[in-house]
Amino acid sequence: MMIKTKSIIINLIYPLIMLGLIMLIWAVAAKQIGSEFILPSIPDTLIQLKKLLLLDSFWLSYLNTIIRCFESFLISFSFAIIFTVISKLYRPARLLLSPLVSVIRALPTMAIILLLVIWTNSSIAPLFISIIVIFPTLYSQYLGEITGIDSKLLEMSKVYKVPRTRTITKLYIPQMLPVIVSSIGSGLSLTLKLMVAAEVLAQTVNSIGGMMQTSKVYFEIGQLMALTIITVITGLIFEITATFFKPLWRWKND
Amino acid sequence: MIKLENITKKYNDKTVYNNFNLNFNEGEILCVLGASGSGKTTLLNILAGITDFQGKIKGSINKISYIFQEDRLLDNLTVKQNISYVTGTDKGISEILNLIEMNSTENLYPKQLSGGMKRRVGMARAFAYPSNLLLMDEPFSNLDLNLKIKLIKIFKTLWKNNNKTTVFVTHDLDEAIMLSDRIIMIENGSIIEDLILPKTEKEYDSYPDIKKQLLSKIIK
Repeated sequence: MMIKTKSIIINLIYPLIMLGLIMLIWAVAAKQIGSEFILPSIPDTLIQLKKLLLLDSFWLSYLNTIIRCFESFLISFSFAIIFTVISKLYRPARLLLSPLVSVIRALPTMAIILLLVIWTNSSIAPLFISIIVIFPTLYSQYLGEITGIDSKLLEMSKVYKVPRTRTITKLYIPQMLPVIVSSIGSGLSLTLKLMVAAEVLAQTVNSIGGMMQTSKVYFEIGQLMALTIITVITGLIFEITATFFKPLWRWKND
Repeated sequence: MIKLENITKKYNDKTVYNNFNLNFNEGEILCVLGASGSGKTTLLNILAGITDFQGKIKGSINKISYIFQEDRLLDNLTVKQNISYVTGTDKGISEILNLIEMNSTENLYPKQLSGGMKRRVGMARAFAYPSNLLLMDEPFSNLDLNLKIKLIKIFKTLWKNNNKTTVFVTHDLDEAIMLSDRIIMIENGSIIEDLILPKTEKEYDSYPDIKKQLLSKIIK
């Protein structure tokens, strides 16, 4: 119990020290620059943040971005799972998908956003761009994990004629679960970042990215900083939530 | 009787077995002795059906248990779950764990067990599985003497309780003599020695002669 409390304290102290350092640098830089149009002070940003949280239009934008973020991730995740299973079962499918995934990964994000804005509209473009970036990342991660499952365990299962359903539920899924859950946390956080970037470029209305773009145009740097803080906190919540599922694979930690 | 007829097995250009034949009785412990690379594990894998080969295996082999060189336990399952993973039921697991003095560990994960305990779980799993053929691939290798003796005793206890037809491979002469009813020695895919071992305690005196006979084959 003592060791656990100590480890929690240590895990909290370092991020807090880093946060303190960032705040200190921000405070000093804001004082040195002395212009709220370039870098607003921490209290000014917090005032803007409070104002923002009281706006209905902000919550509408926030909700739109988050929903789009979840939609995009869900599509990427589903495709990644489906193609991982197909690639595991059929080697030709894996060989066919390999160059395709490499090409998708190499696509320049900004160029694709601009093309998608032309081809589609400003609401759909951010959705697609997140899928294009997240899907190959998840697929490669899951494929690496599933092909890395110990072949000796699979051989043992074959000798003992373990039914396929049992092999899937007791061997494949538990082995994949830690990677899947952690990828959901980090993947959602990355999707959010990409989504906001795409919304800025696509100037999506009623979105966080759209609000950031408007703030930039009207030099409302305090609001821009406040929106950035909200995005960072949301991303962190996604990542931290994934860690709550850790007890599901206690066999890995004991 | 289980019969292996005209077994041929090749790995790329290397022929491990060429028209190899072997018969062994049900209920006996057959030891396959041979140097590293002589095809001992390949023979077990042929019997287990996890490697392709030409030839025929005749006899009533329905289900097979296999004690591998490594533990091959699932990290995410407890001792009891690892056994029920292959048996499909919890029935009889506690009894078998009790027999090998491991009933207190049934809810532990493999990471919480010592190397020797993991081997015992592997053995318990093999005996809990309702097979009529048990294959063992050097199950006592890389163990210190005390642990080896302990595991051999455990194997004997389990085997007395459920005497499955057993084929086990080793390169350890003492292990082979201690456990087997019959020893065959393999070299270049052929049987170069075939010995039936005495079963009664009175005949234990003949063990040094058996060892001499086997050693002479190895040295030759």
